[in-house]
Amino acid sequence: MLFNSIHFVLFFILVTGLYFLFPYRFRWALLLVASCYFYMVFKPVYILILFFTIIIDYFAGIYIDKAEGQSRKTLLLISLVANIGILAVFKYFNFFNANISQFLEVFGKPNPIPFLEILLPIGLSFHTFQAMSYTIEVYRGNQKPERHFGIYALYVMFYPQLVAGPIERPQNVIHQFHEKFDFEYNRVVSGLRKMAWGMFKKIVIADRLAVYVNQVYGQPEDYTGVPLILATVLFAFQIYCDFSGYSDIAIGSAKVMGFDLMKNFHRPYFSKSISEFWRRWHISLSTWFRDYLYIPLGGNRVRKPRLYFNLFFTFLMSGFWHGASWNYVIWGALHGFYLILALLFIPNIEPTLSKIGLSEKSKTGAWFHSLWTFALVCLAWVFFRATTFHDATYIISNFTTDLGISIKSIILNNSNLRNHFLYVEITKFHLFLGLAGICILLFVEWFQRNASVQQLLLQKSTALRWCVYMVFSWYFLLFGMFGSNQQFTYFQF
Amino acid sequence: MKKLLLKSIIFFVLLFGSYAVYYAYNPVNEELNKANDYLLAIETKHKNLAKLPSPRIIFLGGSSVAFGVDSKSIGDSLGLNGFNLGLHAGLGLQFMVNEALEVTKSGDVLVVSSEYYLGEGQMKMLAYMSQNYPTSKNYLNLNASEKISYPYELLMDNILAKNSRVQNTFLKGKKTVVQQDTNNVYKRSGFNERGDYELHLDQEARPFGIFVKYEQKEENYKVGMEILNKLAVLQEKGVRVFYVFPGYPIEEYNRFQKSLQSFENQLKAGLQFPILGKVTDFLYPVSDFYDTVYHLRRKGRAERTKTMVRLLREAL
Repeated sequence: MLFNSIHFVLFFILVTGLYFLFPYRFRWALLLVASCYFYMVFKPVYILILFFTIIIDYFAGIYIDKAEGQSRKTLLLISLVANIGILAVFKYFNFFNANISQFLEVFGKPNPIPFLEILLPIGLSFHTFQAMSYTIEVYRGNQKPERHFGIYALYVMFYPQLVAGPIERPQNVIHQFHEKFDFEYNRVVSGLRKMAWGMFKKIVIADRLAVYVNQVYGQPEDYTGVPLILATVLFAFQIYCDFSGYSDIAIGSAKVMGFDLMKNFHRPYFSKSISEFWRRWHISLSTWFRDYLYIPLGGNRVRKPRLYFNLFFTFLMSGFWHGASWNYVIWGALHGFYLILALLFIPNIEPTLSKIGLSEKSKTGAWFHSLWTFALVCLAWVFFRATTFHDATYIISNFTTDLGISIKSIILNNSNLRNHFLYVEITKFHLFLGLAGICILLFVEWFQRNASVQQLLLQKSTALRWCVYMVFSWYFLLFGMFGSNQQFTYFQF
Repeated sequence: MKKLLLKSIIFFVLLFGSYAVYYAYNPVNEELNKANDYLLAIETKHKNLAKLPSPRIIFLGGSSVAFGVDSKSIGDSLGLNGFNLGLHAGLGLQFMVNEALEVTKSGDVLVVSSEYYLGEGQMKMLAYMSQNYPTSKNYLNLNASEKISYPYELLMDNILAKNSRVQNTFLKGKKTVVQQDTNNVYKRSGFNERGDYELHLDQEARPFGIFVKYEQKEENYKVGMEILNKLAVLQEKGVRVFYVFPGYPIEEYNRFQKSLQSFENQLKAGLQFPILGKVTDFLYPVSDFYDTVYHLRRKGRAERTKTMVRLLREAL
C-alpha cells in the first residue's frame, strides 16, 4: 500500500481508531493483521518470504540466548545466512547471472545458468536488515530474545516502517510493543503534523520535480548543459523529499499510536562535509552499516590503509544494498572515495582555507563547505538516478556542453532556445511549482536549525495556527500531484 | 479523542467548504470536457463504425494503431471499408479484445496490433471509461478482487478528477479545461471519421525517452497471448483475424533488439491466427515519431500503411 494514496488514509484512520478502541492485550494482534494486509496489498505471496525470515530469526534469537560458546556463533551464522540468502536469491541472483552471461559472451559461450523469473519483493532489504539487527543484538547480549512470537513478528512487520524503514534496532522498538499507550492528544496531533509534512514533501515537491527529472534522465542524450545540471539538482531534492517524506509519514503514523521510531534524516543538504552528510542522511542505514560492518572491520582504530579500506568497503556495500546494479555500486564507491580524499587532504588544506576566510567555522566558509558538499553529493546522484552507466557518463561529460549558449539564451530570453534549455518540453508550471516547493522546504529546514516549526506554531494563537494549516492544506490540494501514483523511490530496495 | 474528532471535523468542513466555494465560483464545464476528451472518442468511433457498411477492415490496438495507421487508405487499396478502433494501450488487451468481439461482423477483417508489451488495463482508466461511456462496462473482465475494488476505484477516480479540474482552473485561469489547452494534442476532435488520429501528423517531434521501459528486457507473454487468442473464435464466425507489429524507431530497435525479437518469436509460436510480416518490417527513423516510440508522424505512417497494404494483399 502506498502512503501517498487515499487507500492508506482510510487504512490509517481505521487501524488507528481500532487501535485505541481495542483492549490493550489484543493490540499487537490488530497491528500484526493490519501490517500483513498493508504488505499483501503489493503482492500477497511475498508475505511468505517474510514469514520464513521471521520464523528463522525468532527461534535463532531464543537458541542463541540459551546456547554457549561456539554454538552461539553457529546459530547467528545460520540466521545471517538465511537472511542474506533471501536477499541473494531475490535481489542479486539475476544481476550476477547477467554479469556471468556478459563475461561468457566475450568468449562466445552461452551461460548455462537459467535466470529466475521472480520479482523483487517490496522493501526486502529494509526488513531483512532489521531482522538481522535483532539476532546480532541478541548475540551481543544487548537484547533479550523476544519470546512472544506475535510481538517479534510485529517488530519485523510493523507497517509504518515495513517497506522503507527507518531500519530499527530491537532495543528501541520491541519493548514499546509491550507498553500501553493511551490516547494522548498532543502526541497524536504532533504525529499527524509530521505525517502531513511528509505527505507534502512527497506529493507536492518530490512528485512535481519528478516530471522534469524523468523527462531529462529518460532520454539524457537529447540534452546538454543546463537541463542536465538542473535535472541533477532537482533529483537531489526529489530523492530527499521522496525518502524523507516517507520516513516522516512512517515516524508520524507510529507516533500517533504512541511508538517512537528513530530519526532518519536531519537536514542533510546543510551538511558541511560528506561525513556530516552521512550522519544526517538515511541515518538508520548508515548507523546499521557503522554498527554491524564498519566497527566489526576495525572501524577507525586501525592503521590508515586499513581505515581507508574499511571506509571504502562499507560504502561499497551500502551502494550494493541499494540495488543490484553497477550504478549503485559506483554511487557507494564514490562516497567512500570522497571520505578517503577528505581524510587525506582536508587537514592539509584547512589552514589555507582559514587564511582566505573559508574555514568551516566562519559564516562564508560554512556556506562554501555546504555548497561544495552538495555539489559532490549531486555528482554521485547522477549514478544513482541514471538508467545505465552509459547515461551517467554522458550526463557528467556533458554538464558543460553548450552551457554558455544555454545560459545566454535564458538570460536574453530567446524564447525557442530558452524553452529548449529550461523547460525541456514540459509545461512551465511543473518547473515553477517544483522550484517553489524547494524554496518552501529550504525555508522550513533553515528555520529548523535553531527551533522546531511545530514548537513555534504551538506558541501562536489558535486562530493563527489554523490559518497556517488552512494555507498549507490549500497549497497541498492545489499543487499536489494526485493520481500520478508515483511509488516511493526506496520501495524498490 | 473527542477533542481531536471535533477539531478535525471543523477543520475539514472549513477546508472543503472553502474549496467547494472556490469550485462553485469557477465551474468547470464537464460536458465541454467530455466533448474534448481523447479517451471518450471511443463513443464516436463506435457510432461511426456501426454506420460503416461491410465488407470492413478494422484495426484494433492502442495509440500505436490510432496514430500509426491510415485505415481509409488501406481499406481503399483493398476494396474494403477501413476503420481504426485504436485508442490507448492503457485500456489493456482484455478491453480491446472484448470490444472487437462485440463490434465485428461476419465478413470483416480484423487487424490487431499491440505495443511491444501485452499489458493489462489500468484500473483507473477503465473506471473512468465505464463511468463516462457506460457501454464500455461490457468490455471489462474483472476478477473477484477487482469486482470488489472497482466501486472504490470509481469513487477515487471521481475525487481525483474533480480535484484535477480545480487545479487546472486555478493554474490556467477560469473555466479552462485541459483539453482546450493549445499545447495539448490529445483531443477527441483529433480523430477523423474513420478513427485515424491526425492532429499530430505534421507536428514537430518531441523528446520521448521515458516511454521506453517495457522493451528493455525479455518477458514472458503467455498471459497476454491467451487474451489475444480469444480473438481466434472470430475466425469461426467468418471474421479473418491478423496480427501486425507496431511501428518502432530503428535506433530503439538496435538497443532492444534481443527483447523485441523474443517478443516476435513468442507471438509466432503462440498466436492462433496469422502474423503479417516481422518486427523489422516496421522500423522507421526516430524523426518519424511524434512523442513516443509508438506515435508515427505523417511520413512514418505513410510508410507503415504501404507495408501493411502489401502484406494484407498477400494474405487476403
